[in-house]
Amino acid sequence: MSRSLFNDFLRHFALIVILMAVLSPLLWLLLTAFKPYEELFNNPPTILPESATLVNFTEGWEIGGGKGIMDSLIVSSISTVICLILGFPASYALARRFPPHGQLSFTILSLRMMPPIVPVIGFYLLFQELSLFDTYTGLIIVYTFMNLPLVIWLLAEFMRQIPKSYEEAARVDGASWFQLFRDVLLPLSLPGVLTAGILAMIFAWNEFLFSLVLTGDAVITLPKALASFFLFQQPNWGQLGAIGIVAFGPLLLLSYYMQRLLIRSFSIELGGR
Amino acid sequence: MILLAPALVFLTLMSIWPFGYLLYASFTSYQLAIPIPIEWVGFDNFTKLMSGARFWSSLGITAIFALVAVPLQILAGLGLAMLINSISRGREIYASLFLIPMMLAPIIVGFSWNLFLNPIYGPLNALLRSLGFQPPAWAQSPEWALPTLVAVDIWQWTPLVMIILLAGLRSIPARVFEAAKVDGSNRVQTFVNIILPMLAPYMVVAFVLRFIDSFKVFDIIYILTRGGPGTSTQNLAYYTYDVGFSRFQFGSAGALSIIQLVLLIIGTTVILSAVRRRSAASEGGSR
Repeated sequence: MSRSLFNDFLRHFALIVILMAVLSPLLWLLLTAFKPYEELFNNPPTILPESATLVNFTEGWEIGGGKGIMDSLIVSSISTVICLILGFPASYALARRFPPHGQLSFTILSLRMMPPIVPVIGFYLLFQELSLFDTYTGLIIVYTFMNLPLVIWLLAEFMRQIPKSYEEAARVDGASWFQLFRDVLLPLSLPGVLTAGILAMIFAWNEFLFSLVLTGDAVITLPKALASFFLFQQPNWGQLGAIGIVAFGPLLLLSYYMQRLLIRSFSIELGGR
Repeated sequence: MILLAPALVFLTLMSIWPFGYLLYASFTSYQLAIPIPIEWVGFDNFTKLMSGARFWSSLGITAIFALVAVPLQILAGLGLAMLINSISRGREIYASLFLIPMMLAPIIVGFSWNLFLNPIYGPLNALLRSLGFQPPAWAQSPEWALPTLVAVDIWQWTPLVMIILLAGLRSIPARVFEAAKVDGSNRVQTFVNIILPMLAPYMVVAFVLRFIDSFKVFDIIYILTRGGPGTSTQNLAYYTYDVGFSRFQFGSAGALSIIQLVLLIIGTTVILSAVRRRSAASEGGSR
């Protein structure tokens, strides 16, 4: 008994050591966010900031972090809402009328697999033609295109869990399509809607290549704003770290939820066959 | 049917319309910067690309990400998943913390590593120097730039493999292990005869997903090396970006995109059909 307890202790120890090593670059960026400019290029570097400061947060916001966060919020939240509006009815139809691993599901999902570099050139040329280059509308269209397949597919998985008898009862009571969606299906599939919405939001929030290529000076999403800091030889790492924490730190709170979701989806997808 | 229509119309329109431009560009002399009339050039863009050394070297680098980085991710992910699955409590906490690298924007991943590996003021080299080593300049050195990028890719995507395999390990019922113990099977035998076969479908899914995604590697290259030194870390995606948006040669860039799409379709089909044949064979054998 004590031997197995010792083994367990060793395993925890190994996991913690690996975890510290894995997360060290991120912890370093976190510490850097609190260092004043003079301290950034010390050799050897200081681990903890000698004179901790919050100036990087205020400056980082002013020199482009604020604009980046606003633009990213606009683009990713609007595209997420459109994805859900288009995806919700579509996923219902897909779940009820088509087989779970059929051709249509596969085709829709395979759009998601395409490397973004393939459609980006087509989008660039099309947007030049339609004057959508460097506009919110343009980027929203692209992010909707990028996320809609996944949203439909995920929502359809949730819709399949809803018993058909619920909607049949609603139909018998004379509910319209709209009422059926609003009063029956939406409340029942709310966890699915939230999940799909969060995922679409994260993917749009983190996306870089499309915004790099398809926008100029008018729309500057967060990843693009951060990348533009990097044009200088010695970027101000403190400001970069500060914006990074504010903009991407909150996402990490979803990590617990995400591992549950992923384990569950892969178990269902693969275990069910 | 009418419910599917808006989404399908949107998706179809947004795939076919830009794709039309892409196809058109790839068979013409489309260049944005030069105001010459656009000419139909047939397969010229493709043949020119394939006779250049840069195409083959970038293809090689994409292949390294797909065929070196991905198997290493599977190994590391398997190790981590087994370790996490073996502890008595706190599995979900470890799983959530190990998931962090893949939750982050690739751009932040790039920045963290760029700072961490900086040859002058980065902490890793400071540590190595203090231990008496003479560390290389990692992303800035010709020999180490590509291994560094591969390592960062492994760092970022091992968590996905880990989580898929954790789902797999959880699907193995406890009685299977008990039965193995009763039969007197030792740890290695249990691993080879029970765990690996039962994890196989999960490993295949992890491999296919990561294989497809390995064609997408771009952000970390952009932030860590800009494809350099020279062109030593340009994969197909970065090469396409460079041709299209630094030199505005959309004909060549379009052709490159189409080549990538074809490679990806061929690669995935080959893997999936191999898997199907295997599983069909093993099912036939067990009967």
